[in-house]
Amino acid sequence: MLVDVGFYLLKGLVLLIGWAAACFLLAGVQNSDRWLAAGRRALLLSFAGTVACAAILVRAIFEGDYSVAYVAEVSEKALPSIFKFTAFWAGMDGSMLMWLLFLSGYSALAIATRPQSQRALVPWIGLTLALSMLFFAGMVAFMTNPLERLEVLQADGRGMNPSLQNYWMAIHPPTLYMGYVGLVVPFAFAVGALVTRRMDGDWIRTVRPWVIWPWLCLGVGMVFGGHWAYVELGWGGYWAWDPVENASFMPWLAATAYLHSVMVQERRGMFKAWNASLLMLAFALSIFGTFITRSGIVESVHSFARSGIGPWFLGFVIAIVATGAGLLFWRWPDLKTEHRIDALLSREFGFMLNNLVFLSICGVTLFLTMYPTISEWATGKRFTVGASAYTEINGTMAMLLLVLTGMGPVVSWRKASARSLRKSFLGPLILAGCVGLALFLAGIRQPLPLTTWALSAFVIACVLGEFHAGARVVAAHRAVSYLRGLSGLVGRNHRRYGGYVVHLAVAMFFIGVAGMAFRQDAEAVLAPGESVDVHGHHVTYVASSPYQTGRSDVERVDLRVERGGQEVALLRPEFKIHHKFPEPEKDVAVRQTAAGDLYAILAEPVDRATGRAKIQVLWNPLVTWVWIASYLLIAGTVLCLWPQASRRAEAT
Amino acid sequence: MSVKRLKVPLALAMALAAIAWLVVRGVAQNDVYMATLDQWDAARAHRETVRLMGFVKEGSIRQDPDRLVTSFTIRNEKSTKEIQVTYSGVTPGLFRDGTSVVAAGRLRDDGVLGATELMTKCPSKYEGQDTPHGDKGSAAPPEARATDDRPVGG
Repeated sequence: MLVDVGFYLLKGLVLLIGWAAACFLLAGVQNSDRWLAAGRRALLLSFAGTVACAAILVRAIFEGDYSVAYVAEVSEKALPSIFKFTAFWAGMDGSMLMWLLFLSGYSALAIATRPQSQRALVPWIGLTLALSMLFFAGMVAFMTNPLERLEVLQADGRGMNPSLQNYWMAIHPPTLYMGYVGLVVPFAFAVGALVTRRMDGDWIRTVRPWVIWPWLCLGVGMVFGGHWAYVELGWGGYWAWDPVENASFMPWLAATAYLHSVMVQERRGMFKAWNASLLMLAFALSIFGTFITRSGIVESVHSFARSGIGPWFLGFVIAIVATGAGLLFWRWPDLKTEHRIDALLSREFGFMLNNLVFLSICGVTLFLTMYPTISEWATGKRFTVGASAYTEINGTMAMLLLVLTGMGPVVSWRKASARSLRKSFLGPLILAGCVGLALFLAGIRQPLPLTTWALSAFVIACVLGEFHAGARVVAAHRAVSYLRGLSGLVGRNHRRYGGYVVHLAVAMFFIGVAGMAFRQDAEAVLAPGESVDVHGHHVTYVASSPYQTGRSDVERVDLRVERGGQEVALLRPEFKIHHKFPEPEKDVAVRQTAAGDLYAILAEPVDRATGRAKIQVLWNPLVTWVWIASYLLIAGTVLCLWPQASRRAEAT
Repeated sequence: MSVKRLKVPLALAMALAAIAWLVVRGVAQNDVYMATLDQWDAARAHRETVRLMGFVKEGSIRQDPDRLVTSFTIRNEKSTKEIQVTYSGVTPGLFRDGTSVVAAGRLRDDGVLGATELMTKCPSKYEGQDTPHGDKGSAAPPEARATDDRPVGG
């Protein structure tokens, strides 16, 4: 019963949101407070309605109402409760509803907390948000309604794929979606500012947390996804430049570029048109990513089934781009820069290079992702590029980015003097040189990882140098200890030092990523008692111990790991054959250390007759640092967003 | 126009040119022909690495007992054409009969594709796939599988 109410409620929401859009339009055109209030009410009400529909779906999943097609598809009686909750977004229909839920939540929050100073923008912000919601509500109600009933009653559902029953997978999609969807708010602000010709600094400051939050969610969502792939998919990596991954990477890059270049606008009134374009680009890319992953236009390891919603999404992307381009063209005279760049050695030019690199990486990723389609148009034959192309091109550009990560925060605005540059960078440069030389002498000759590590040392030295110099000044000034000086320094400008912490995280991240260039791999078919060696680890296959869980037959092997004659770990990778799912699952066993992960896979079921097992053992250097870097990135971002108690944060 | 005014555009143009060179070189060195069996170009596959898309022929998967080598057959959608593949390494998680796969490698002289890379679709792809219900198959009447073939939006 409730399900049917929800089914029609979703369709009703389309009308309500359409009404909200009409109200905001009238409020904007007539500058009327009454229409604005009406639009606001309708928007808040449609958020409440979406929450209700989401609650109905969750309830149907928990109560096991398998007459609902979606519930029957992604859930089953025996599914553990935690994964019943994640079943909400485990399939396409539910994930679309979650998208709408987040979108209406963000919209309601943006409209409810609108700053008084930007009253003029609000109708247009509301209109943009309502139109985006209208698109998604229409999709959910008429194309992917998750509350649609089956014609034939089913006693139990099909259940969730076991590889999705993993807690990284439980948090990965909502985090990522929160990022994708969140980019709608900055987009709406940019539209509002352009329409009302208020391109001054004010809206930029309001929109800042609205960009940082989805940026953080996208970044963290990607890391969660990588973690899931690493522990669940059993290929030993966390990133493969698959179109689905690229889809989340591209809007993140655009948002990152914006977060940097907007500082130039705040400080010097430059790059106005550029910054507005970046916000529009970020949102367009987030929708484009959905299009890529749901239309089947490019082959992906994990694209959704070809579905009818692809063309609609493409249409929506085109609408976003057209709106953005049209508004920019219309308001071009208002977007004149207030200053020019004076010198190449200046913060401004550094930001310009930074944007060039971020957008180039974004463009290259887009080009390579679409390369099969593009090459088919151009030559009639489909070509594709492997991960090596991405690594080569983006990796090389990332080196320039690393240089900027270290230099950017230190170079002064307008024009940096050679003397100050020497003072700031001589130490870090010497350190980077020493690190590079030491690694070279240690036998590391691959140019990309060698450069990465040397430059990471440079970044860390530059950023820590900033902390150190600042802390000493504050400590001397206030006559307190060094540590108190440090905390005083950070407390004085959360935004700046939060940003520096993020830069440290970036260096740490690159250190970890470069480690993968030195991964080692051993594959062997072993009889009990036999062993294989990987990177100084002596791995012995001790015994196999099959067991059953009632839902699956599990093969498990015990691998004893020894280093220098000492037993250091027992790894127990498993091979599971699920009764209900045709695909077997390889549960890997990982021994994490700061130096690297020993990663063991049982490739096939153990041979019953001979007891022999096919085992792959990987040595993945420095992977842990990638995860630690992501937590450091979260910490830095939280510091950035943390409200400044006493003073307003000065612009960096 | 003074030299000073030109400095910034010039530096940007140089950076862009360097990036363009990087992209052209990177793509030229790494692009791989990709085809289904219906577009298969055997001569090209002999010369260079190609990617073949298709489906794992039912019942064709064989494991080498002594090495981590899997051999199987890739067929086209209508099962009118097929080609033998051997792959050395651990097969990806969802590799099984009937899965849609992409195998990258070169065609050997014996007509077998020696794959160095093998990809399968990930589980979110589940939607819209006709998955047998395994042991509980009898519990679900064929009509109940309507969910599988339900046109999106129907």
